[in-house]
Amino acid sequence: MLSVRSLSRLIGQRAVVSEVSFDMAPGEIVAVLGPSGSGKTSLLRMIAGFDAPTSGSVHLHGREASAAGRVLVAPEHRVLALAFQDATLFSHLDAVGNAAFAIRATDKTSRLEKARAALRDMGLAGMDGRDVATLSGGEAQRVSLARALAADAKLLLLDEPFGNVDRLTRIDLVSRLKARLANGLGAMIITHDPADAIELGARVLLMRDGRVMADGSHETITAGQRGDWARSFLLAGHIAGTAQHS
Amino acid sequence: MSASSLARLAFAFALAACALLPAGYLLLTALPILLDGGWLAHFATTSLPHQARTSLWVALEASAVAFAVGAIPAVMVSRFEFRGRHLVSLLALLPLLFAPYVTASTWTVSFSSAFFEGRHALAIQHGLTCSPYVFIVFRVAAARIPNSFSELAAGLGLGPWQRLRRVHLPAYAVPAAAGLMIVFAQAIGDYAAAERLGIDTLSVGVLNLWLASQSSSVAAIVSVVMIVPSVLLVGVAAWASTSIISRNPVPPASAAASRKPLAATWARAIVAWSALCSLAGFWIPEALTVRWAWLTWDKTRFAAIPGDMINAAGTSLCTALVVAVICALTALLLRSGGRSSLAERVPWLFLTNYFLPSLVLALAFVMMSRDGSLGAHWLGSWRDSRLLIVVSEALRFLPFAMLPVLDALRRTPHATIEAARAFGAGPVRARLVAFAGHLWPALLLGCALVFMESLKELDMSLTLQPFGYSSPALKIYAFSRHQNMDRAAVWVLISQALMLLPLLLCWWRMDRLGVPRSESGARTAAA
Repeated sequence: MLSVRSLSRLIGQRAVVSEVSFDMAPGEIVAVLGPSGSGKTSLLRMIAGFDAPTSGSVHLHGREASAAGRVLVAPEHRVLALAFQDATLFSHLDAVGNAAFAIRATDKTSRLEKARAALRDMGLAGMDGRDVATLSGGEAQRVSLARALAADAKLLLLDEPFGNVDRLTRIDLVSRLKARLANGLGAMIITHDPADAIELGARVLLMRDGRVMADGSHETITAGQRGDWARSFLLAGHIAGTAQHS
Repeated sequence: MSASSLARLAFAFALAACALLPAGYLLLTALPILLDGGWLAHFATTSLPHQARTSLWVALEASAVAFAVGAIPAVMVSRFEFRGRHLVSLLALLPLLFAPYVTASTWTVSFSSAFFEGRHALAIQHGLTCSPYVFIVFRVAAARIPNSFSELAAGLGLGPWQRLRRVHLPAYAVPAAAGLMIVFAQAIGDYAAAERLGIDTLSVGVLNLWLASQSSSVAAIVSVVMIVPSVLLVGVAAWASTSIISRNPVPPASAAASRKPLAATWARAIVAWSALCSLAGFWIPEALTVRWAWLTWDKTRFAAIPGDMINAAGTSLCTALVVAVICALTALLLRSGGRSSLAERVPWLFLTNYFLPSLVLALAFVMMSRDGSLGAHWLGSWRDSRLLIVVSEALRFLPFAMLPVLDALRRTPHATIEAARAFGAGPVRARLVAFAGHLWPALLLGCALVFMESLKELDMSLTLQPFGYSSPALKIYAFSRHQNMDRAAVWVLISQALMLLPLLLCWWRMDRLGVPRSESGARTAAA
């Protein structure tokens, strides 16, 4: 479904993403982890088609979508769904209007019904008409996820979707997301927390300084040699997350 | 209710009374005749409906011009990084240096075509004069609309036209409404430019009717025709401000629009468009003015110029200071307790005086201070000073400072004052610190605009000038009425020299808005 080959991006003289290659099968869930400034968001923006790579290519659904210096397939034609860390809700629409934003059904009733169902799945039953400015951070993030999940997309790109919510909300959202992803929708999730990757059963892509340092399951990476950076990063993050949780 | 709440309420009512005094007085004066009835049917048979239609058409055409000249460059400058970006900002603001009656005079004296004396020419003059305000409003709004809105919509499958319809147009609805209000208020309220070109607009009709009847009651009745729609507009604006705009989430600084590079062809096109518009709005009138002043420069008059400049700057500075004090008091009102929808709506009442044609506002002051009135008794000898001009101009132009201040207050959470107090700052110092980021720069920008508008203002000076009073606007008007543009030109240049500093301040503020590309690149890299 997604194939990334030798992808690099320079800003000025600095490589924010460097020689990244990986493949994603349909329905696969990939968690991109790494410290701040490791190039996670830059990678996602190139996959979404917002930025062109300096070199390398992105193949999506069997088509070359981006090549060196060029975006060949515009973001709106990549059949994606997105959610950002700041919920990015449209303030001129209410909660259900935001959730229905990307549903392509022509019939308004069925579009709204699908949006309401998506809100219900995210634990927001009965909040259809709420002004988005009055939503709490967690509620806004739920609407943002509902909008992404309601879209008729083949691949979900989530950029730190749980970054602005408290721990309990985070656990709740991860479990709801996991339930929705069980139907075979592929997802790439950028996160700081290794616990999210474990909970979602995701394959881990660990980045540092723009490069992929490890690619595999959480168990495989943490079973590596002592002193290995990737193993240490995941274990430290997991311990911190567990401590915060308890 | 606590003593502080009562004081706040009283303060809010005092501000409201101050804002509504002229319109309220006119309504009260007209009330006996209004209650008699039949006045509306009478006016329907006069030339007023025709004049109202003419004013409406002028305002509509002026809006189209102002949006084409002001909004397009504003959005491009906010969203894109390109060579000539700073120049486009400056070119968009340059028409602030000209009042519409000056450019109208310049064009008609220089070119003999009948087009320059017609309705369309008047609309173009108003459109060009208002375009800097449309630029400012759109520049501020566009700098705050995060790129992620458009990116998210694209990522969710919306094409360019769908994004325009479903994301961009709703996002720009508020600045578009604000821009329209500014253009309509200026175009419908203007007297001098319409009179100069001989266009029979509503403002010209009101003054003619007043001069013909010499009756304050007739003036009050006609003014009511203007007051009702303006009060309705204020009501809508106040409701929208607290019910829609203030509930919109203010995007954090990190979400502000970061500029993307623009293709060279588009960059050249936008620079060329700005240059072309500024030719009509600034460079050609300016070149003609300089030429006239140069050819007829009378060195013997040089000694009098500094005194005249100080005199003119003094009046405008006083107006800006009155505006600054009212805005500061309003900020105090809004940040001296918890949230209050009443207190939040009061400042919007000042818009009434902006939507009222300046002549109607001036008529209210004339009637309030006529011989034997309570106003004349209270004011004493001050009535025949420039006090009335300063107060009426301050009331009219107050929204130029008040709206940026209200916006800045929205962006200054109450918690910042509390945080400053918690770190040991006293009540005054805590507010000074909390307001430093947004409020003071907004107030400075607003006062700069008020200073420039006050310097160009003519209609109220014509009506309220005390004996012996003079200003550059009055001199320009007097000379240009008799086609003496060579003598008017010197005064145009003097007023422009006084406006130069505020103009540069506006340019600096507009240029700094938003996130430069280098920073956005660094932010993306950091993510």
